[in-house]
Amino acid sequence: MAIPIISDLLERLFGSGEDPHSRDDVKRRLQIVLAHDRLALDPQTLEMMRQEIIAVVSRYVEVDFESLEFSLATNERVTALTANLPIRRIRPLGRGPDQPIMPEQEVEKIELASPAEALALDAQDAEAALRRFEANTRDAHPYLDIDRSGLDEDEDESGTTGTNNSVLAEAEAATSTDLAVGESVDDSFRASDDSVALLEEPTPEIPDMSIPEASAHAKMQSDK
Amino acid sequence: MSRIIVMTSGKGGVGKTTCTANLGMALAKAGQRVAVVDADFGLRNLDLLLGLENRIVYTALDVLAGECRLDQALVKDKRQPNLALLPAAQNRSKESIKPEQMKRLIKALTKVYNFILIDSPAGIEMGFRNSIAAAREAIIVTTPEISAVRDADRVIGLLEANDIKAVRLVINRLRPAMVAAEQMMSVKDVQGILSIPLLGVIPDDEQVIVSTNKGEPLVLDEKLSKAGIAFTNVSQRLQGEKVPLMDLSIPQDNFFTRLKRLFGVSS
Ligand SMILES: Nc1ncnc2c1ncn2[C@@H]1O[C@H](COP(=O)(O)OP(=O)(O)O)[C@@H](O)[C@H]1O
Ligand SMILES: [Mg+2]
Repeated sequence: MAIPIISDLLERLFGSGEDPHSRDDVKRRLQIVLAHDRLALDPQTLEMMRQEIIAVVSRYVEVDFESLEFSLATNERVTALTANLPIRRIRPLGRGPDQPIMPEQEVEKIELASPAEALALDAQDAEAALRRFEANTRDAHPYLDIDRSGLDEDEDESGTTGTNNSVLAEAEAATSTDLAVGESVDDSFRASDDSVALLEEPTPEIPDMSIPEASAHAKMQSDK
Repeated sequence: MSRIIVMTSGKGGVGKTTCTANLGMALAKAGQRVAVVDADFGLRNLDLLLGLENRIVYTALDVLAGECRLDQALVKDKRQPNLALLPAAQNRSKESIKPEQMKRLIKALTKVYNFILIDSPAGIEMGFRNSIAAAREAIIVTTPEISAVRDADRVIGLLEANDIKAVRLVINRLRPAMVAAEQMMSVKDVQGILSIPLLGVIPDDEQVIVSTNKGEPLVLDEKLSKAGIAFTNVSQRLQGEKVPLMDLSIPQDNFFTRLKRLFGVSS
């Protein structure tokens, strides 16, 4: 009897066991699956809705794409879509609410619709600045690459411990590199890169897509 | 006015038929005139759980085909004359009957019986639609397992859509020790998620199998098992009585009592 008791004790104290909190796990899984069942929306539609919401909100404010959350929750048989969109700042450029939105090309559209003629020149400057900026930071960018073996010295401190840890550490290191370089530029560069990376899967188009932010940035500077 | 109640779950094997047999018998014991209707065409089982399988002459299909009268198809229980079974055909598929026909059968039963329990098949197809066609109330039977609860939720939605508003929950096969060990959802968890009123909780009880083997519903036992008490309680609540939920907490043979025993503290 002593052995089962001791293992029981250990299990209770340290919550080891095979399914430490399988009750909580199953509740969470169930709640998610029921929210979807009850809504009866297919995943594609849901994803489209998500993208459109992000696109609309992004016209007015700069959303922190790293921490935004969409979730379906259900309570008392009523399903609610909850969007948590942390705002970084208000958009410096006004973008009218009546402008049509194509989620897939959202950023491109905004670029085309960029209103003020006077901005065109500044934007070109900014574009050039952006290219420079990207050339400096691309290697260290955490969102675009998977093979990070070629990371620079910042990352060496974190070493090569556990896989998860090291990936995290790399991401951190990369971010701090970003910041270091970004100091001389504007924070909005980072934001725009992030936003594009998460709004759509990272693709080779990303550098182009960041241009509107560059013009936004340019506008801010020209306003000063 | 008769109460027409469908026992349904979505998922198979969660205890619909067991609940129908025991609730039907418990209600009959309490003096209600009860008809239990096997709507699981092709896979009938209710006759077995009631021990009436050898007395079936006609089935609901024969009534609909005009080969016999309804009363000829009804199998009256000898132990409990208030109870009658309307058997399903065993050799026909679920598609062999339509919701309209089911309504005609049930409507006729309401002339004599004041409780009509319909044992629904698993699934949400034709057999399910037949079983809910005439129902005014529903008892959702589920176990505290993710797949059963998910299916129950689906069925609750379908019942709502079919204007069956009195929908109540029976949680079957609860294992209190597993709940205590956080390995099974609790009654509160399941009810909270499904958000319909709770009619009762039936513990997982091996006596259920013993009673199935004999063809004698648990509620007939002289000394009621835990599940037998739970079924009786459900039947009383169904008749409007206020019966508190039975205490299913584990008889304290857990870690702490064993620990006490280890150190020689009697408890
Ligand atoms: N409370 C219970 N404790 C133990 N076994 C049970 C319990 N309820 C049902 N069972 C068993 O589960 C199986 C399925 O039950 P059944 O009533 O036929 O389910 P359904 O009609 O929903 O398909 C049967 O073998 C039955 O004996
Ligand atoms: Mg059954």
